[in-house]
Amino acid sequence: MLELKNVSKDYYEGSRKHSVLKNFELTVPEGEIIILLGKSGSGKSTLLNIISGIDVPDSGAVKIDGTDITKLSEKERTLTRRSKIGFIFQFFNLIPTLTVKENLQLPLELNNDDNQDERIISMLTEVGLPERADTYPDKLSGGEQQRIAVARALIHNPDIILADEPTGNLDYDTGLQIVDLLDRVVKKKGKTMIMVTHSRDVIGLADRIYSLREGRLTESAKGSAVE
Amino acid sequence: MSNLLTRSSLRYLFNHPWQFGLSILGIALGVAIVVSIDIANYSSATAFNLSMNAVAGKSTHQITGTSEGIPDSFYTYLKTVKGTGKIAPVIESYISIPDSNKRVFKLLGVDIFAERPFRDYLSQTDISIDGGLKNFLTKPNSVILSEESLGKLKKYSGDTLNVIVNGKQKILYISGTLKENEQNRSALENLFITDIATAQELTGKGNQIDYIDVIISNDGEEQSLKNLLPEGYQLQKSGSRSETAEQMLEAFNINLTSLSLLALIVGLFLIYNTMTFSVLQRRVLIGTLRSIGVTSNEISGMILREALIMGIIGTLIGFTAAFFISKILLIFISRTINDLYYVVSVREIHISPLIILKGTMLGVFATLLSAVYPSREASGIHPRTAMIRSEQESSLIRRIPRMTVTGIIFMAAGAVILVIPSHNIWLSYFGILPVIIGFALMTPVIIILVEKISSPVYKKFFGITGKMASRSVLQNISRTYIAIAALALAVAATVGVGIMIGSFRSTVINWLEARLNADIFISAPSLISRRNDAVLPEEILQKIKTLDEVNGVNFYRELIQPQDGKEYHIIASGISSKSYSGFQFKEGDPGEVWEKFDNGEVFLSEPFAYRYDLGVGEFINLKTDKGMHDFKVAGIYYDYASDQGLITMKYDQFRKYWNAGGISGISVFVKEGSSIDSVKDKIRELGTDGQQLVVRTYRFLLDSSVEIFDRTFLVAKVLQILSVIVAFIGILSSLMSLQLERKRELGILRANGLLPSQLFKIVTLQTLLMGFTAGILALPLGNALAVILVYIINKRSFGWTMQFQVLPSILIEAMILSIFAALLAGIYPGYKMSKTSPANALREE
Amino acid sequence: MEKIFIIILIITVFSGCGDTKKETVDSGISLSKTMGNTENSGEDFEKAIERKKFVFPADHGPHPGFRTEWWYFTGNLTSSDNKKFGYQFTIFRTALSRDTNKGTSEWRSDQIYMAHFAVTDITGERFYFDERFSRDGNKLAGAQASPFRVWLENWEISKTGSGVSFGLPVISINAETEKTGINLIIEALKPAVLQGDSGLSQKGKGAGNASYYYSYTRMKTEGKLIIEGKESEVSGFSWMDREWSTSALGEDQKGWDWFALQLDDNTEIMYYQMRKNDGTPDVYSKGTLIDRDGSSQIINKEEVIPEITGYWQSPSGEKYPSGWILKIPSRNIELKITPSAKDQLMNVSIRYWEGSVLIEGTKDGKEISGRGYVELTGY
Repeated sequence: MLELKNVSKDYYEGSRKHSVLKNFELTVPEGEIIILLGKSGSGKSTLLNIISGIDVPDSGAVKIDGTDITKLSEKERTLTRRSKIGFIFQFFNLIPTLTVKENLQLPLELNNDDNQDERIISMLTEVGLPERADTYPDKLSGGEQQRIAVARALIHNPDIILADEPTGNLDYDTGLQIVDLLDRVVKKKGKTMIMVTHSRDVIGLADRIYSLREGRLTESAKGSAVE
Repeated sequence: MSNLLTRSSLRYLFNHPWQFGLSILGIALGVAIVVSIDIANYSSATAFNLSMNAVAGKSTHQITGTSEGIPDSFYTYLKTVKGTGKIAPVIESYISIPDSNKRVFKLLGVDIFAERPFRDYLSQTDISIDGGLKNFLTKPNSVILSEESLGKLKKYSGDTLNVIVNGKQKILYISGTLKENEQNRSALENLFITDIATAQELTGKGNQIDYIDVIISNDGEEQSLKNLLPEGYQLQKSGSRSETAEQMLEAFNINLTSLSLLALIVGLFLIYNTMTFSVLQRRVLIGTLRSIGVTSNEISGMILREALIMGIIGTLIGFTAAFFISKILLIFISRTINDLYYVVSVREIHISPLIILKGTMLGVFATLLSAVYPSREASGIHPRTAMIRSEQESSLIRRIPRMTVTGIIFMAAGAVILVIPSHNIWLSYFGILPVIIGFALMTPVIIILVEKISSPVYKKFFGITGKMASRSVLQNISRTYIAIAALALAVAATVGVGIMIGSFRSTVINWLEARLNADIFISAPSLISRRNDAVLPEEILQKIKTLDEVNGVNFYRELIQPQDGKEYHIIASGISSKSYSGFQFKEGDPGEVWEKFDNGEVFLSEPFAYRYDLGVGEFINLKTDKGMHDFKVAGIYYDYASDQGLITMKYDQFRKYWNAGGISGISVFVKEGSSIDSVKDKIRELGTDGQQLVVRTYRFLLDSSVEIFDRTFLVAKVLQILSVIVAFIGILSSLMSLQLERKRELGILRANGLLPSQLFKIVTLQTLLMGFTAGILALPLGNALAVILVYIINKRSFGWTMQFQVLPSILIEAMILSIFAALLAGIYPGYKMSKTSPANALREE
Repeated sequence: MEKIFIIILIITVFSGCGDTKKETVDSGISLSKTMGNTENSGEDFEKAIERKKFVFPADHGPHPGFRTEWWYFTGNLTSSDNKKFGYQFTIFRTALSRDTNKGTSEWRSDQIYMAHFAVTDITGERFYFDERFSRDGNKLAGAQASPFRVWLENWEISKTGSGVSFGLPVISINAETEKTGINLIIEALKPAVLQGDSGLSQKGKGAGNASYYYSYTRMKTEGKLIIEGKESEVSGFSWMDREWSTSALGEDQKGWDWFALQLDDNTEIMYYQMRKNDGTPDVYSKGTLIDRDGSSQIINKEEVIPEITGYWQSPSGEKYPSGWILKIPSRNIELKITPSAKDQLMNVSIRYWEGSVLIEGTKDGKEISGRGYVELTGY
């Protein structure tokens, strides 16, 4: 269960105040997939940062399984993120100095989780790249990299997946494959996922769809146009 | 710490071999220089102590007498009347062998019948005097040498040997061999052991011995022995001579060490540079790791561990290199020590645990320290904003005003530390550090200023690519400023040391020209320039005075007076009034000082006054042959002859208090119209009875003095060159990282149609600008360092006032060095960039 | 005479045919070597070939023309509280060469001095000894006839006061070590005995293998003796030997046993037995019997029957005789000689046994006792 209560966040550009989130409210029950639509600069990324504990809101509460992470120290937030959250980025952001297998190993190791090999192999099989375990990321195509990124986000069995434009850097077909993958591995595992995107191809995944505009959410009907 | 993080960071290091290899090389060189200087210093000190211990044997104390020594009869009195137990007479002197590359040996005259408790290497087990004992005792000029020495001289027992003792030629007879063992081999080398009678005859000491070795086991014995000593005698601990020698060398050693530290600082800048770069390069990676849940402590730990690895590898390589470098430095250093301080033959490298500890601390911990700031930077990287490019540049630009102010504060703080009145040299060096840091902090603002000017100039001469080169220095300021600062610091160090040496040299030459205001100079051959212990008989002076061509003479007697564990160098001067102008007074009214001098007051040389904190009108208490006596100080004069300092008094005054006869040196004015060379030859013939006279003309003496000066600073020059090498590695490493970092940017340029040659031009123009900026920065900093070295460090080390003199050539050289180093360092990265396929460069991200 | 062991040195150490290690244990620079030399084997030195006329006090002084010489004192003393002591004090002189170029240094010297000093605490059963070396250069050591003085550093034998007795001034001996010291006044009670053939004492085959040798066999001795800081007033009798020579032991001679016995009837016996390599006495063994009035008679080897009654082994393993019965049937004398202490080993540069002895026996059928000194070398 993820709850955002009355969350506000302002940014300053020079002396001009710019409200990104205003008394923002959101409750995501376990296992739900939420898609956030919004223009660039609408505060989508800020919202993800606040949920993951990377950023702290100016006011309000962010509760993950009942714990208000805004009350935690930076280190505690990092440790929470480490165990409960999986990230998927637009630019994949695999660790270039680690092999595919090691990239998956890293979250497990950070969580002191043994019994790694089996899970890594099965996860790689699940994303369809079991044979690339010992390859370095720069030898993979974009789609392959994002598959690995999805695997990395899930490997340590987090409660919440945060995805920031996961198809934004991929061609149409590859994007669809990733959507398929997310559908398979996230939905079927019953994970909570919040995805930020402006691509309509992804919408089919969602349980609920919101638009973020001037710091507030509006729920959109499934299948309705966004822009 | 995560195993995978470690693996990741190690792979990063391996993937950037140039960057990290050069950094490790930088640390290694820095450590090597510091450690090798340490080893060289320590080895020469150890060699000296070993030979001192060999001479002192098991004695606990020594009785020293008056300036002439101790009369034989006093020893006999102690032995036969007072029944004093463990005492042994000693005569010590130096011998040089003309046909052995002027090597200097120590002559030790002993009474073997008193030796048993003292020098065990003379005992049965370690020595065999192959049947030659009768000769040793009864045959004139008999000596024993160690097997090693004999081997080197290619002599055997029974051979004869031509030597010079106290300026006189003698033929020695080798009556036996000293069998050394592993422990005392190097100590016994260079030792000529003779019977005390032979020593007296060889050195012409008459019925005097130099001192009496004593073994005392308790305070009661010490006191009762003290009670037997006449006025002017002293009972001092045996180790005190080694201590005196250590004190003498202290300032010399500290200066060498500090020069070596300068190289290390440059090396550390390199680490700082590399680590900062590596952090900047990995911003995205680090940001991702942070997003995944790696804590900031784990990130900074990772960076510090990388530094630790480099520190350890660099230190290990540094130690290995130090072992070889120290052998070379040892040659220079021991030559200087032999020139200036005492006779010692250093043949072995000695390493103490302390040196290893110090080198390791410096190499490893200083590396860690210099990585602290980059590691904090890394840990502060925001998990996701890190992925936004150019953020770091704009953040640095925003910080520039604050950096500049902080820089000024640092420099001011350094200046405050430096002007704190203190004799402590380390404090002075400590003060240099904030100055350097402050300077580094001010580098960005200077870059902005230089760029403002260069940008239009570059555009005008090199077109749009020129302007791009110029702008890129500014655009990448967070990287370029470190490289520029590193190069500037290294160049500044060479400027500082160069100006200091130049100023010192011209000061000394000016002083020599004023002081050496006679035509011919005569002395006994002295083996060490600052220990003029050889004397000429007084009748030589009378003979010279009576020569027709001679217009007047000055003379002096130098005496080294041991007192309370120190050595005072006293110059008893028979100076004529026409040479008064050779003395420049720092304190004391020149109109009055000479009258006071005539009335028994003394002059102190500047280093002496500084060292003992004495001023005009104060008194110095000296141990004389007639007991302790207070001498009033009439003036403080500039003098660069001895870093130990000198006390000058009128010769007649000296003879009232000291018995020592003989003349150490004579200077002669030749009548106008007479040929200096012919007078020189006449004087040379005055030496009778094998007495050798060193007769030199003004020109020759000046030249040879300057030669010794230059030899002394050879080590400094070597160190200077080594720090330039470190600096060059620094700039190379910086530029390499910088250009590799810009791979993508340059790839885009290539994609847009720039030719490889144009790309090369951009890189070259950019490094040219960086070199120029570094040069611009290095000049004021170099001058500041020179001011600190000349007015603070040297003053505090030796008490010397120098005329600050900036040779334009040094500045021009610095500029050329700076630009040349930058250009040279830019060649490889430029070449590499221009050859890179744009596709590859673009693919990097 | 006993001090011929210097000559042993010359033979064993300097000609290199002896066991040098044994002779030079614990020495500093090999000083025992100094005490003689092999080069020119003494040809330049004077030799004791003919009888000479002894002239006093001149002959009390040094004879630098001869290689070796000594002033030798032993004595048995009793303290006021009836404790018994023995002492030995000897100063040796050895010349390294003759005609040394003296040079300009006071220290230059070819005359080397060695001194041995020992005290036996008979009652306390302790033995103390020490040795010193020096050169005569710089007046650190030396000898002179007039005023009589022989010294090595502050160990000294010298004329004291103005008394002269039987041609010898009253002398004092002063010596001290860390543990012991003596300060004795000594006065001859009998005239000098010229040993051997009117003072020419043949030691081996061949002319010149002899020494000039005279003795004062009974000398009144009084003074102080210090042991471990405790001072005692002592008195008793001393024996003085003077001998100088350039000769050496014969090649077949190994050492000697020497007896100086002072009997209670105011007579003395001196007897030395030269031992050959096989341990048997050499024909050159000889002795002297000194009567109450100082007159003396020679005792030949054939007259004496020495019998060893016991042995003592030194810590380093040498076996020394330790107890004798000395029979001189021709003089109707039979004496049992017992060391006052078993260990009176002079463990110095040259090791030898030299100790105080107690004497019991019969002379002309009457019981007699006495005290004396025995020297054993070459063991």
